[in-house]
Amino acid sequence: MKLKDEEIVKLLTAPQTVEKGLRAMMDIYQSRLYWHIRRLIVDHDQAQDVLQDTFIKAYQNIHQFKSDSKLYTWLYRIATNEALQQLNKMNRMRKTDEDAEYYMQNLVADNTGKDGEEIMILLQKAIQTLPEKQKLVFNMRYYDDLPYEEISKILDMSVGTLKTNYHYAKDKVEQYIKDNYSEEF
Amino acid sequence: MKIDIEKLNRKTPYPEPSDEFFKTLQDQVILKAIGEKTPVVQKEAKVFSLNFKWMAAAAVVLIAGLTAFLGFDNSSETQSFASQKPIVDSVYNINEPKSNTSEQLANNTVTEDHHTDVIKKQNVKNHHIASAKVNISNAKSFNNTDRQDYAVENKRKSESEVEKVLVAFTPDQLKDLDRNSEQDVYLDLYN
Repeated sequence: MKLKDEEIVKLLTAPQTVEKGLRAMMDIYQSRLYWHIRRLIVDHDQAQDVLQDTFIKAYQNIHQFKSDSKLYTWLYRIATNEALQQLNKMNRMRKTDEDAEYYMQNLVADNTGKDGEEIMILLQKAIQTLPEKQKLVFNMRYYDDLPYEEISKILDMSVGTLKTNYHYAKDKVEQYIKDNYSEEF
Repeated sequence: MKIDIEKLNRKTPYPEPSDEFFKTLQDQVILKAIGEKTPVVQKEAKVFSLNFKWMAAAAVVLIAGLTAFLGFDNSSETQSFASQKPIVDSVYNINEPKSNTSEQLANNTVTEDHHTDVIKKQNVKNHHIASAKVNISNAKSFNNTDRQDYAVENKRKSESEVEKVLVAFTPDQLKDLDRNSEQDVYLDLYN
């Protein structure tokens, strides 16, 4: 994997092989990054824009990438920043945090497919009630199954803080599902 | 009811994007990343050429400015002298009608005599006295000025104007003028 990252970086830095490098990078990471962004933003079209910007920024700043870290960690970091910026833009249009939370929960309901399991929909709604940091930690740990060490590098947080955040987030999500499961279903 | 999310299927409830989605996304990213980079290189070249143009223009302006400045420095002295002269002349012009040399006065007297001959004989004496007094008064008033040499031509003009005015006078008016001029204490000093 390490070698693969180095190859991609090498391709991206050479003008003749930029396209090849971009395609290689996107082939490997596009799906994981898309779902990471989608879980945060929920809306498909906006997730597409953010993913696109993520790859463009990664390419434009490839000279800043340090080879001692993993490429996907670096890409996750860019994608997270882009997604949070987009979220802030969306939330700026809401008057209060409650309005923003309500809006995101409705967005979850609107974006879930017909085959979506009820408990999964409720889980997504519960995630939208979490504070920003807890939401990020929960998503990366629960859905992407990233190790705490990697999440620590992406979010610039200590492993201990991440574990605490995940613990609190998990409790809140379970409580939300417990409170709402009987009401909605 | 006990909920344990760790036991749940970790599948996101959102529908999977279509197969074309990632392909389209890749094309768009490549178009934006590489497509934008090429114009950036062109832009840089343009900026360089623009800078070069500006530099060339600035150099031309600088050279022209220096040339003008150095040229202006020399010409400014000339110009200042040239511009001063009319100013001085104009200053002198103010005094010109008042300044007379003795030679000019003599000429004026001759000219006046010529004009007074035209007038009737009985007025000749009075007219001569009056015009002489006017001339003398002018000479006395401004004879001490150092600027007489600058106003020869203008003086003649003004004298001829005075003569024209005098010619226009009737004999009676000249008599009155003579009478009044005799009463002038200042003029009497030179009688």
